[in-house]
Amino acid sequence: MTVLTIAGATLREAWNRKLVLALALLSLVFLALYGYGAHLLNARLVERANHVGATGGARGASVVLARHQMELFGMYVVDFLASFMAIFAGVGAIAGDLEDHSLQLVLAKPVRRWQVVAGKAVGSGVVSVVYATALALALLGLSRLVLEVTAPGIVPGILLMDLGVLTLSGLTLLASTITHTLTAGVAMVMVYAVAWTGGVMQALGNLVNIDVLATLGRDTRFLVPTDALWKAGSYYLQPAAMRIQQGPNPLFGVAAPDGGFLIFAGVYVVAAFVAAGLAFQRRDL
Amino acid sequence: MSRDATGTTAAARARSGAPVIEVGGLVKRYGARAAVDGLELRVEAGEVFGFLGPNGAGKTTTVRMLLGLARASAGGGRVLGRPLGDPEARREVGYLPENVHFPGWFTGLGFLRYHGALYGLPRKLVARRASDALERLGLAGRGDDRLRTYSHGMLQRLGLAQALLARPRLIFLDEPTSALDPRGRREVRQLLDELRAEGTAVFLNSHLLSEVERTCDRVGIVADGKTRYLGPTHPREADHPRLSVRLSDAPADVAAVLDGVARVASRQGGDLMLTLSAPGAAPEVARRLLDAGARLHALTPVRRELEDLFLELTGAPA
Repeated sequence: MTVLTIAGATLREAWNRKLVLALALLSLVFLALYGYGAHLLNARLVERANHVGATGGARGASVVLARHQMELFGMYVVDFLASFMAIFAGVGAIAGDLEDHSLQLVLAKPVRRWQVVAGKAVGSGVVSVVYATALALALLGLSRLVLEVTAPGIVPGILLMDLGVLTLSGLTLLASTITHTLTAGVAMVMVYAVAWTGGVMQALGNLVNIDVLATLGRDTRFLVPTDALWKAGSYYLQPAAMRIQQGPNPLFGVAAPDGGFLIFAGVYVVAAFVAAGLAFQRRDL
Repeated sequence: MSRDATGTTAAARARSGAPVIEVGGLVKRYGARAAVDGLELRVEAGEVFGFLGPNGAGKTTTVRMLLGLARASAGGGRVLGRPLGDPEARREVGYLPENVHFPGWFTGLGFLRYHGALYGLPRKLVARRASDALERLGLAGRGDDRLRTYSHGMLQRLGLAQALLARPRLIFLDEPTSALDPRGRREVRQLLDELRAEGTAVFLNSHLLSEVERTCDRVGIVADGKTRYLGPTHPREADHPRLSVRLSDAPADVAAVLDGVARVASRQGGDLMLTLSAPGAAPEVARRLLDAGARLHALTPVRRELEDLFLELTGAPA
């Protein structure tokens, strides 16, 4: 019950501090830009196809793939925004409340520290995942409307992206329990960058056949699995023909995620939240 | 209000069984530095206890350990009969830290309902107590307003209301009157009197010695993490007898004349401040001075203020 009370307060705080409103407005700007860009691209693709008199067959298929590419790039931006949303929603969850002494007021009551961490985890996790899912569905709906394409594996694609967002949420909460708000924020941006760099290294290693680079980049996913989870999600969001056409690239996954890694990622998320609870348990306030 | 030899009020004695706070040899180290270094403390049920010390004396760290927010490096004790850090003890503890942030998006009632829920109190009981607490702290009618519209003094009152929600047996207050005007300070003093009458112990951490003198039954003075004084707020003359003496034709060596009965604490011309070796030594002081040829104009017992005691024990301003 205490966990839900704290989670509820975290959610109400996000709502009342206009975090949700600010996100909604900025996301609408992003969707408007994406929609307009997609509309222009689609118009140019149709114009060219009509110009060469080939709207079916191989050329027609390449037009469809180009539309899917636009949609997938939009989803990449959605994952990027949701990742930073998870960082900023969670970075002050513990550290910020300690700095303004409001958490001391809570912990002077018969409240266990793990209950505070669990409540904050539920609150910031729900905000981040709901935002990621809503923005992803909005972008996919807009793509269907403007580009007339639908990603093939929407459910696994979004779930894997959400798992990546939840991973960042857990790591951010851990950082927030052991250091100051600003330090935690900077550290988490660096953590996100490490994962992203690992993904790029893997793609480059595969592209130019440097095994060491590819292996190093691939194994970065065991350090921070966020980029690998996006790649796993993006695999399901593109048609098979597009994966074949693309080959190794730094932004999207072209190989099916292995089950072992997905289990590891699930355990990793739980471990991040548990570590946050343990770290906070030992801390002197 | 009648006090016994330790300064405990009659009301407190009537209610007291076990002390609400009892710690011994309490130590908190940060690396090689000891913020609290063997602190001894005992607070009785139903008394208003002032906790004093200069900045950096270890007051805040002590309160944190008593509330379970920090772990002791050594030593220990009990709060409301439970070991330090036991969350169950906090069911009957209220706390208002200094400089706490009140989220502006909460309404007054919403804030109290949230903190009441954290005590695990039923929703209806919380609603009733929240209304009562707002009324008691002079915030009736403002419960539905957002906290961002509250003044600093109103937030301080709301913090006090929050500390009263669980009908606690022990309340920790950190500078509770710092943001209040004179009328507000008087109301808080009245509140503390009411709490004492209800049997609630108050642990008051304050730099305002005048407030402490007016409200507290006993005080603890700490410096360098150690307890320097634990006793009545107004030190009894019997414990620290002092005399102010005005004389003329004083003997050359007053200290030698008074040897064994008084020590000269200070001297300015014919004005002496003496510390007696025993409470009944004043007549002997007068006799020796007269026998030595001095003309005695005045001999006045001096009551020591809390500030004197504080400065003597800590060597620092409050």
